[in-house]
Amino acid sequence: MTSILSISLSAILINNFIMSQFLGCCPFFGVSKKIDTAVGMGMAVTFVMGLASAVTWLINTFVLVPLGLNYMQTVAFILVIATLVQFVEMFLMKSMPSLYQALGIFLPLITTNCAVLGVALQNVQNDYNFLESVVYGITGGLGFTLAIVLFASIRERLDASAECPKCFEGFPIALISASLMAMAFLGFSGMKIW
Amino acid sequence: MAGKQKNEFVQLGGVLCAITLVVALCLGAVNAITVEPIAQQNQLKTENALAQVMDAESEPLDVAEGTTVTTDRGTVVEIISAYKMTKDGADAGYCVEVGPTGFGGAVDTMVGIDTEGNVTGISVISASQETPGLGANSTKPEFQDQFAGQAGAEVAVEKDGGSIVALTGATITSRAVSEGVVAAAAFAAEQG
Amino acid sequence: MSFGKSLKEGLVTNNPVLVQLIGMCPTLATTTSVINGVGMGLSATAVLICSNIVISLLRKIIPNKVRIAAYITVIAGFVTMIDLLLQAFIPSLSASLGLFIPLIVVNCIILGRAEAFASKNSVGKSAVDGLVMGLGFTLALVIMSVVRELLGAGTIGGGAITVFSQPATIMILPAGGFLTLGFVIAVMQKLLKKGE
Repeated sequence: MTSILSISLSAILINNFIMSQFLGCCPFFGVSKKIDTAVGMGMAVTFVMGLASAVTWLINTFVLVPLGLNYMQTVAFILVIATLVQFVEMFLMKSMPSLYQALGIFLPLITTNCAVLGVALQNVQNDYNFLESVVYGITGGLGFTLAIVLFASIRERLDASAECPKCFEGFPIALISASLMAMAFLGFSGMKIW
Repeated sequence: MAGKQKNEFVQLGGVLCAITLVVALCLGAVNAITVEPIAQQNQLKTENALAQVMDAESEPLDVAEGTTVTTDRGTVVEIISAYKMTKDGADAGYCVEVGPTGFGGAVDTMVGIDTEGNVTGISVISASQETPGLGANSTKPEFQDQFAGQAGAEVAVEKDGGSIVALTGATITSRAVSEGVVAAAAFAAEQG
Repeated sequence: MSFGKSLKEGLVTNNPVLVQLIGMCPTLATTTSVINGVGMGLSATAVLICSNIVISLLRKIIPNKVRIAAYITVIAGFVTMIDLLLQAFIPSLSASLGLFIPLIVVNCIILGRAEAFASKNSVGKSAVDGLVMGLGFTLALVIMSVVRELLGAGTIGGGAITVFSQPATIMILPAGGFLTLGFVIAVMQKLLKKGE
């Protein structure tokens, strides 16, 4: 139980996927102009990360390792993630149109979100068991959501009111805000209870 | 119409399968070429680490996978491998490779323990999951050299009442390595 | 388009990182020292050239509907090869880049060039495109890593020369990565404005 708590705390705050591991930066900068889209993206990523952790763990443990095909990990995982995203999209479109409306446009983008492949590879690297993998995937996604929502709210204010030198407008000033956020997240790094 | 659709599916699947198959074959070939050098590199890494911590002949011991040692402070440390050391035919102690949990994962460390239970030297083999510039500095000699000559069972960072000066801003990694040394000493003592 | 012109486009006017703003993760994560930056840049360049050539060769065979899956498979294949080769022959680099080697697969630059360029152009052109875009990526990584290593570790050239002994460690931590990239892109925007 303590290991689960420790993994969750670490994934959400201390080793936050974006703020301290730089995984998933593309959507972090790409879809963070508005809070609602950021929330949508965060939810979609959390969902896919949890699911991908479970499926890739099963594939790794029951197919790749017994066959001695460890070197095929990257290829197998990315194909699984791409297929998974496609299925989730089809499933949502058919059975939950309202959720699909909310998440739909973000789903294809998730295939190339390195946080998803990253979590699958880290699960293997850290020797997590099935439960730990799934928890790491979901809490990693929650950490991503936390960071992207906070960042989106900063950017909304930034676009509305901030005055800055011309060449810093848009992306550079957003990066500098992200830097300040990362410094704040650095404060969590002393937290290691278990 | 249905037939046409089926055909299309077969075609799509066929092309994808063919590509995956070719990729898999190529990877198999590359793997066959690189599997030897990779094993050699790993072997070399271990040998270098052994040579660095103790100047003696090594003979690997059987360590069951998943063997752990719990230190007095309650830290559980994994024992990765262990070696019986001999110098000029005389017993020289043990080298133990431990994997204490640092900030981002296991900090793979080789520890040399002599027959009296003193540390002959340590070598942090891999700290790549620690923070660059902070915990990752644990591979530097300035940090590692402090351990040599200490009584293995009493190693601790200054914060915990010991004499190891922790790396700037990386107490967790420093503490992990110290706990690893304590566990290695305990493991060596168990062996006799 | 002449080689010189496409080189200028890849390195400066259409630089994948500094102008197109893609491939952020490796740019931020691996630029803690110049050696890492160059290693990452060149590995990604190698993958980019190979995948561009193969995808261009296969552009008439791959059905439109499954093209993304096909591209990713090809890219993942090359990435794994580079990963294995690095582990076998340059293990120190492989250890310090760690997870970010397999993650080249999801580097948006590579999939982006496959989709936007290699799937529509001849093999020769695609190879050149892979090379210049890869070099542009490497250039951005080198600029970032020189700044971060100098300020954050006080050294130049991967620890070869120590310039000062009390570095601002924050620069090689994540916060410093975001900060440096922000400033580099701001300078880039200023320069490009002037050039117009």
